[in-house]
Amino acid sequence: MGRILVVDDEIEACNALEEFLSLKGHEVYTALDGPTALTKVQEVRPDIVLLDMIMPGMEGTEVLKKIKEYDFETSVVMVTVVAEQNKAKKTMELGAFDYITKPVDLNYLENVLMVKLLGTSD
Amino acid sequence: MTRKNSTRKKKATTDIHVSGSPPRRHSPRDSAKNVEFLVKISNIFAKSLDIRALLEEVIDQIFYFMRRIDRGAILLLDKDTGELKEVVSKTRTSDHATPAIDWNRAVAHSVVKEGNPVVLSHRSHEDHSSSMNDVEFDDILSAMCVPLRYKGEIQGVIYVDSIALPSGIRKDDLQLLTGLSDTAAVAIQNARLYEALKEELDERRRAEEALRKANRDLEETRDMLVQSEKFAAIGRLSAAVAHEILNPVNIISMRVQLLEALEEIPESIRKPLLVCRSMLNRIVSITENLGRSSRTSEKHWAISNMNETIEKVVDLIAPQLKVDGIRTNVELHAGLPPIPMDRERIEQVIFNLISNATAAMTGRQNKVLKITSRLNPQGSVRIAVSDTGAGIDPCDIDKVFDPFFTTKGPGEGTGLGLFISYSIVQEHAGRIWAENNESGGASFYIDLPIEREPRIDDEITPKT
Repeated sequence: MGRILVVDDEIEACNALEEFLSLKGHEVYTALDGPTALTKVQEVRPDIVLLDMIMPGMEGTEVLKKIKEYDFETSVVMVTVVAEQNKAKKTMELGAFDYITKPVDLNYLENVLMVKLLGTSD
Repeated sequence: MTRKNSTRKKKATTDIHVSGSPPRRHSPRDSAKNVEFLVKISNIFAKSLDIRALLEEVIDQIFYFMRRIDRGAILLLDKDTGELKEVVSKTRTSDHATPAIDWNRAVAHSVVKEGNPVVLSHRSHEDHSSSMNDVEFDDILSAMCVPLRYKGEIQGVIYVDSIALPSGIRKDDLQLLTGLSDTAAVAIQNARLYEALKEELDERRRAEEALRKANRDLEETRDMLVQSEKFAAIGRLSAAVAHEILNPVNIISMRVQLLEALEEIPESIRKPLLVCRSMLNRIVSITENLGRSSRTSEKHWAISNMNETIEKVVDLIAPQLKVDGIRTNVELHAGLPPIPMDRERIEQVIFNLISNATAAMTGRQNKVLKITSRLNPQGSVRIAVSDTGAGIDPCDIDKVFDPFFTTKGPGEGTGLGLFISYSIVQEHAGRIWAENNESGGASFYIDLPIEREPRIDDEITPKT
């Protein structure tokens, strides 16, 4: 399974995702804001980052850019409440692997992660 | 024409020739007749303020009282050009005012210039004793012309002559005409004043009407502005609220999903979890609609054909209409110009209106859905969606576009369909409104402008 970093300013969202992903056998790390997330990326070198788009301080898009600058190979899946095609498209242009909308369908999330992990870890 | 003023007055009087017998005193009968004439004329003047009708009537009365006269004209002086203009002219034999009789210009001008009455008799033009020897008399046997004088100023003349009947004009005819001219002048002045006044009043009325219209337009625009500002504010608020709600909803939803994934949970918990999940879905659909109503989603402007847009939605929804037993009547104006629009969003509006119309007819005997398009003369396209449902409660007609306003049962409608439709039409610089039909049911109308500059903020999304 993969190493996954969950970034969300809502601690309960992090907890729920951590619980679910751990159950699925992933190694899960969490961060409550952008700067912490960037430090964790360097520390744990996650396979996939689940990145909330709207966060106080540093916005998800900004964090995405920084992650990609640091290591382009790190996969980022954006998580957002704004079900907007254009915003999502823009994150894809910036290098996001995919985006999912809140409320998160956990089964769908697992599928997205598996596609990425199986595609890259092989 | 006379060349010397000093002889003028004398000439004028010597011009008067009474044919046949020598001048005689008026008989009492004649006086009575004259009085009757003047009274009659005065009555006409008192009554009539339409200058042309008044003058025609004057000539008629002259014909009635002066048997030898068979043509008459009233000429008024144009104050600006100083020219004499024929206002009315009539002959005894025709019922209607005839256009321009060949009134003796020389006579009329001399009267205007000198201010004295002139009479031409048969004999006077035979012996050429008058000052009118340079005038072509043709077959005019006798002519009479008196000034119309108001406050000493000459307004015009009354000209009468006799072609058909021989013999000259009697002296008392001239007296009568002179007597008449004084009253006529006053009446003409009155009529002129009245006309000027009427003109002024009409102008004022037109100005007032224009002002009222401008006021109405202004009020309408202000209402629309207030309304659109209100909706824009609601839109922004909605997007923010949607975001704030969806974050906790996301957490609840994930928790529910985690619980559901547990294998050993009893049925007594599984069922309530299902309820929680379905309620969460409801919240999500409301917030998604709210987010959609705000101007955050991407727009695709293109010049599109409205009729095709309508037809596409109708085709899509037709099977359902059939199932619901709704008769559909689509009348589309063939000559609609293509208009700039975000086709997908306009489709959404039409879809919303049709869905509402369909829902409004649930349980009704007669279910007719009518969709029309037409071209407005003011450069816009109008779409109307009408149903034969229960109509809208007049108290609610202003509220139907408010967010969360719904007459449907809980869970059946979010109350956002019309609100979203309103927002979309606003984005198109158009207008949407509802009316109850006289024959029952309700109609929703949309006016979309044919020409529209794309908004510069089309691509801009608000920060949250």
